Amino acid sequence: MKLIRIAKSGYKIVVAHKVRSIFMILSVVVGIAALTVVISLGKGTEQKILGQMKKLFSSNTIMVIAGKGRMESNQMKELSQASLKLDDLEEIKNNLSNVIDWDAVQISPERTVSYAGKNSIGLISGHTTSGESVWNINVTDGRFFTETEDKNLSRVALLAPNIARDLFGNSNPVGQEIKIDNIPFQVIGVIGPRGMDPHGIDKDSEILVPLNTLMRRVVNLDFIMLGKILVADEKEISTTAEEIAKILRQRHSITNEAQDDFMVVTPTIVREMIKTASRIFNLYLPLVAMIALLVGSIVVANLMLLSVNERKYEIGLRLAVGAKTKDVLFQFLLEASSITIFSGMLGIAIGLIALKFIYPIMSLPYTIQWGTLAMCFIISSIIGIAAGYYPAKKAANLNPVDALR
Amino acid sequence: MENIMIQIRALSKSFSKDSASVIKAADNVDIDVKPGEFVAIVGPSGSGKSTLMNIIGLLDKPESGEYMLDGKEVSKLTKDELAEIRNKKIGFVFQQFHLLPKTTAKENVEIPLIYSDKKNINGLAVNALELVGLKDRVNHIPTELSGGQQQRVAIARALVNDPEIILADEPTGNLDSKAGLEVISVFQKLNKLGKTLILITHDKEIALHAKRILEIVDGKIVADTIVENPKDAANELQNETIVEEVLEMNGGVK
Repeated sequence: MKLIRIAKSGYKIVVAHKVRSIFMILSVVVGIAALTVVISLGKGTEQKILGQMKKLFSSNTIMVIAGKGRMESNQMKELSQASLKLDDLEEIKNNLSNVIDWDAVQISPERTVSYAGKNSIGLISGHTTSGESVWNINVTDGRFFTETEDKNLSRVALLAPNIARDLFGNSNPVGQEIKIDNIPFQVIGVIGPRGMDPHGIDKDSEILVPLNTLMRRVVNLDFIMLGKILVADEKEISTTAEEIAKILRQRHSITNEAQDDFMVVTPTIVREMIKTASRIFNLYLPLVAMIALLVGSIVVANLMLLSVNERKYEIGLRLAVGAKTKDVLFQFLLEASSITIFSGMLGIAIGLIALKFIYPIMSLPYTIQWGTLAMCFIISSIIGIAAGYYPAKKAANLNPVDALR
Repeated sequence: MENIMIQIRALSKSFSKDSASVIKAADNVDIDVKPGEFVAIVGPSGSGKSTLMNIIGLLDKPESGEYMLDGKEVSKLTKDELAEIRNKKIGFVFQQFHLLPKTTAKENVEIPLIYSDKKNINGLAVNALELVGLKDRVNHIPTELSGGQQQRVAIARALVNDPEIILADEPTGNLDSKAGLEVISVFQKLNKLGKTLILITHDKEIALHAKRILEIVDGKIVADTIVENPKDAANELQNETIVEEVLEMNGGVK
């Protein structure tokens, strides 16, 4: 009964000092909402990137990349490596029984594509006829190009969804004639959405053409950017990768590994890269979150401390008229905990609502880090409660006359 | 022995303002107060009046000496036991009122009851406000009340839990003379109802409303006088009102 009366009296004080209470609630709500968004977005981004890397690199994949450099190095630098040829990949396929399929890719820098006065910009990427199966390209309308079309340098193209939408809106592009830098191409198909690749290239704004057509008619190059090789036996993948390197060195007259003008990337290497990337995410995001949490908690602690100092005289008065130390502590503990817990939950709710809007905009998978959120919530609550409790305890232990002064 | 409520013997307390000087706020003080007394403690500021009141009211602890309240030595009591005695036996009125801001008169008066075992908090608070003449100000917050009204809310808070002793530290210090008289008349009324009152003031005129005056200088009691005919504040107020009315009438004639 007494506790209920103390709680009621404390509640009246909170309500009476609306501005103070609202600011206290606001600081926690904003802090926790921000945390909710930051942590969840971070995790979402991580999962998206890892997901794409895994999609590109199924466990039976070997990538042969022209040039020696890191995978993150930019497109132009890789283009400048002119040593990797289509014949190299054919040779690999012919010599290694574990290789079951392969595709070679060359990409032209962004070009203007137009149809009936409408323009769009996209990368033109050339594939062999194996591209469809090797890259799991989903042709939603029409068909992929044929061997003959590739051999004859036919001007045929498949459009990624963004280009199709830009040029044709809702009508069917298949069979229409578009122009890539004034060269007419016939649209033979439309492919499904593929999103961003790990290099940040928008695969949904690409135009796919036969590799030979690209090399002769669009960019006039005789080398390729990369080859994707699929193996039959995943267990032998490392050996196969070594053999690929050996063949390439032989064909490129390289005697020393250090002079390699290509990179052979296996799932093992990618897994290592994913691990490195994950380590960055796993270190960096919690760090950001911790800083945000710290700032939020300091704000709460600050407000609580200010409030309690301001209320030292309320505590003095309550003690003078007969409140025991534990009565005062109960009141302040209840106030601090109910405000921080209420605000924390409100903050999480607002953060989650914000995420509902943010995730679709950033086309991220909807992930919520409940564990991390719960931890942040608990830590901020503890700091808030401690910040409310500790000075109140100090004041409640004073001689009433000193608290009243 | 039995009818002595407050018995203080050789009580001392000092403050050190800086390392060089020590101020004796209470210096070997002996006081006896019987139930139903109305004692004024007077003295210049800095003489130790407030310190004495804080010690009597169990808000502060003496350095040395004995203090028996209702036959019980209080220096041995724990903080919580002291709080309970303050809650049940003592009501405080402060110079600065010490009302909680943005909180209604009734809620302010209810505060001591929160920590008591009493039921019907609401009714007791309203009764106390009625006793000090503020029945129509129950739901006003302090800033909506005059200084005198605020101090009467504080008095209502002091008496709401029906304490035996009411301690008032310069209760008229922040009030004009009329509001001061109103407050004193409430005290006299309470004294007639049987409350023991200890009033601290530097104003000798105010002190003359008490039945007994203790004079304190530099922490020492220098005089202990019984007031033969204490002034009646209610009477003075009535006279003042009559004088005001006469003045007003004269003004009207002119």
